[in-house]
Amino acid sequence: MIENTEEIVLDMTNNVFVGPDAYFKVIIDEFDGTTVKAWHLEDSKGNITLNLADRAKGKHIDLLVNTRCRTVWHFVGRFAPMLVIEQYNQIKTLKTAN
Amino acid sequence: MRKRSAYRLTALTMAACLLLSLSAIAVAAPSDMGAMMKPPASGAAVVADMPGFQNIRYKTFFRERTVNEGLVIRQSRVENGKIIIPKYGLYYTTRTDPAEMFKGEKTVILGKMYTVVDTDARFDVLADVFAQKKKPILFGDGTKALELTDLGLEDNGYEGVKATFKILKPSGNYYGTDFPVSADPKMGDITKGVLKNGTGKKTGSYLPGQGSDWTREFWDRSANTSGQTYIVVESTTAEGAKIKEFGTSATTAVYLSDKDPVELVLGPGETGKVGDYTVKVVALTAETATVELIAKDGAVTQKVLGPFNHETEKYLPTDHVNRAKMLVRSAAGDVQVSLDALRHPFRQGKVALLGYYDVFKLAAGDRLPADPRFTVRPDT
Repeated sequence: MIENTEEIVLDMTNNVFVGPDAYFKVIIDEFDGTTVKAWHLEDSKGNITLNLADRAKGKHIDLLVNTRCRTVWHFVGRFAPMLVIEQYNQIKTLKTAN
Repeated sequence: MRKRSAYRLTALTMAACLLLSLSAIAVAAPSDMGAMMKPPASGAAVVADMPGFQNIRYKTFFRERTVNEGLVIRQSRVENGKIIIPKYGLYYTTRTDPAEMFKGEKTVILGKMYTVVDTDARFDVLADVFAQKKKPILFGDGTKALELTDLGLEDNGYEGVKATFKILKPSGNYYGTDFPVSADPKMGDITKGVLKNGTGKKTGSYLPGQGSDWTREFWDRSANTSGQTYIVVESTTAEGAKIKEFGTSATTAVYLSDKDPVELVLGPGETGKVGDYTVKVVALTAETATVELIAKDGAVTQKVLGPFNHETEKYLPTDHVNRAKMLVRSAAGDVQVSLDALRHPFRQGKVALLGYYDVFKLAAGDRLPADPRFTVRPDT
């Protein structure tokens, strides 16, 4: 494990946290002081995720990346049934929209 | 039926150094625990995969393995107009099984592969403590805890009290194996040998009251194990469980190199190169190899590697004490040469050696050399 030793504080002025050895970046895109409306992750190769704010309803920026990593999967496994239901609901929403 | 985890808690690290176990070390828990041992929220964003977080397949001397990079943010919050990630709230992890020495095993750190050269380990013990449900008991250096996660009746409502323990890790995960135990006097404690010869019943079906009256026979164990890890309880009651003894190992440091191991087979008087160092075999016996590590400036480190025999190789590679007899490190610690201990090191009058160079050590709590804003923790 490689862990941050100091508290990380982000807002729209300081909206980027650069990870260890610049291996990734956590980027806050839209934050009104109460709700994180949009944020994303960028990897060292320049790939970026979609907006990650949805599941936390803007209340936090907890994150799990790469489900093939055992540590990550153990956490995801705790709420995997919720993900299935969320996915189903998203598909329904998309179908309705079309 | 109880659901059993598919994951065995193997010896998470290597065998503990006997000297350590003889002189128990109590280390205070870190003063600011931050998000240590805490999980991410169930509403965490999930990125199933991302090119920059790799799953790397590689070959050891014996098999193929995969190492997977992961990233976790936990315990973050919005407070006073700011987004806060607490200390230890963000971690990169390459959750690998314990790397086994002498096997050419590797790990990945921030996209780069490193050969695992060696590890240091410690064995943590808790003795004579009372555990209450959901009140984790810190042990070792305070970055892990033993938790009584469940306290209830045995299966089928049998009025015996069963306790389930889990080990909470720095990552916020529990070890894959849990430890159900019961020392309730109503239980047949199989650790006392009560089922050693069965109950004497023959093949067939028995109604209540028949045979040895199976309706009053419930079995459990006052001790449970997984690899090196064990727990023994004295009592399990509605109030909690009295732990007689619990022990588990921890990796305290890992020695790494970004170079592949150098494989050498040398006879007496022959030399080979390991980085900038010359390795010379001075003498060989059936069980030992006297080797010299000669630095560029001519400084010599000499050691007799071995003895390598049935007794010393019996518990390799996990045996730290005998493992240390099989290797020599340069004074600067940047080079290590060992017997090729798992592949018949003494062959036709020569010795097979493994050399590692550009070796560096990462101990628990060290700052990451490439970025001192971060600390490293070999144990997950």
